[in-house]
Amino acid sequence: MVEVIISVAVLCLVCGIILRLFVSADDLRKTNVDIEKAQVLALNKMEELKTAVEPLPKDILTEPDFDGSFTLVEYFDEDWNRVHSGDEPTYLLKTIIKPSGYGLYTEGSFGNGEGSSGLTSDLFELKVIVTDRGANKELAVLESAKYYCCMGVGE
Amino acid sequence: MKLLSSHDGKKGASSVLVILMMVVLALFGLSALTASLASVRLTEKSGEWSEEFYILEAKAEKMTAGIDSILHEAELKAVEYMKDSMFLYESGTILDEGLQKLVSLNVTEYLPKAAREDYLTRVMEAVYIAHAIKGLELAFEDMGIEYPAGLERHIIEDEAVSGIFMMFDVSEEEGTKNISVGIEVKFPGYLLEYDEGTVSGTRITGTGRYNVVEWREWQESFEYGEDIQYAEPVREN
Repeated sequence: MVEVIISVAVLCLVCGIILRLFVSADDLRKTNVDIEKAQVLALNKMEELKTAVEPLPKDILTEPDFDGSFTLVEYFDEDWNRVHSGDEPTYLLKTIIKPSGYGLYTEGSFGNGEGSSGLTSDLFELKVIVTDRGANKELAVLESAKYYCCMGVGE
Repeated sequence: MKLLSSHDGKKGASSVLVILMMVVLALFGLSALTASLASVRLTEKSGEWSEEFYILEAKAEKMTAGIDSILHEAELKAVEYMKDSMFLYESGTILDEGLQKLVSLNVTEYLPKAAREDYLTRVMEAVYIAHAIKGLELAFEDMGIEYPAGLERHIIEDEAVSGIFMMFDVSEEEGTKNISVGIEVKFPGYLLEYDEGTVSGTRITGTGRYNVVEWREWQESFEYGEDIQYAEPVREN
């Protein structure tokens, strides 16, 4: 009788361990999927900024923060669908764009030349962070810089 | 006499079966865990490599900004040359004495009025290029800056020649990841109006002072160590 009890107990323990292995493997797979999605999102955002002519489209230009940087936040639900801030988002994509103060300005004309829009050039520091809001964990962080050589033209 | 049942020889077979199944399940569980762990490590490593390349790109962008600030200075000096009518001087400008004298004679005597604006546009470009070469060579002594000899004269005489081309590399501290950038300096372009010895100009809208003709991200060849842990690459030397 004791033998049976011991063998059932051992069996249960082994079953528990095996179950735990599968659960851990699944958790890790989910974490991996989240990190991968966060990385793709961060890469896309960074490339979007790097290929743009201006660092910020005029329609989303906001007031700068106290240090002169601009912060844009996008919200995503647990399935990585874009949502609004009030919809209890699971993931946050934060983009920080900071001018380095390197700015150069070139006049559009000289003498009696007809007025032409001048040219502004500036180096911007770019930072993209994807955060898991629930776990309070940064899933992907990318930092770079971009020199926008021809801003304020073409309008 | 003891009666033997047909099941007596198979006693404990179910336990062996259960244990075998447990072992198989444990192996599956372990392999699933190992595979997931390896995927996470690989994803994290790929993320780190992207991070490192973007940091390297930032360095290259800062270099490009440095180059453009020199070109900006050259453009301002070329504008000043035109505004102050320095094309009328016989010497004392960035252009060499013989060339400057020729410019002065062409503008004041040889060229018909109708041809002067086009000619002055080329002179402005030559002045810009001369200042750009001077500034770039001073700031980036060790960088290979390529341009044909007597470029200013070729521009003024409207001869087709290649412009200024420069290459620079940025590398991370360990030196395995690199970015090679090729920059071609160009004149932004002005529409000039010449009237009684004075010049007015309008910049062609939105044109930059350089073109990026090459932007190549590359990594030196490496071999992994025996213990593959998705670790940093082991360099050959």
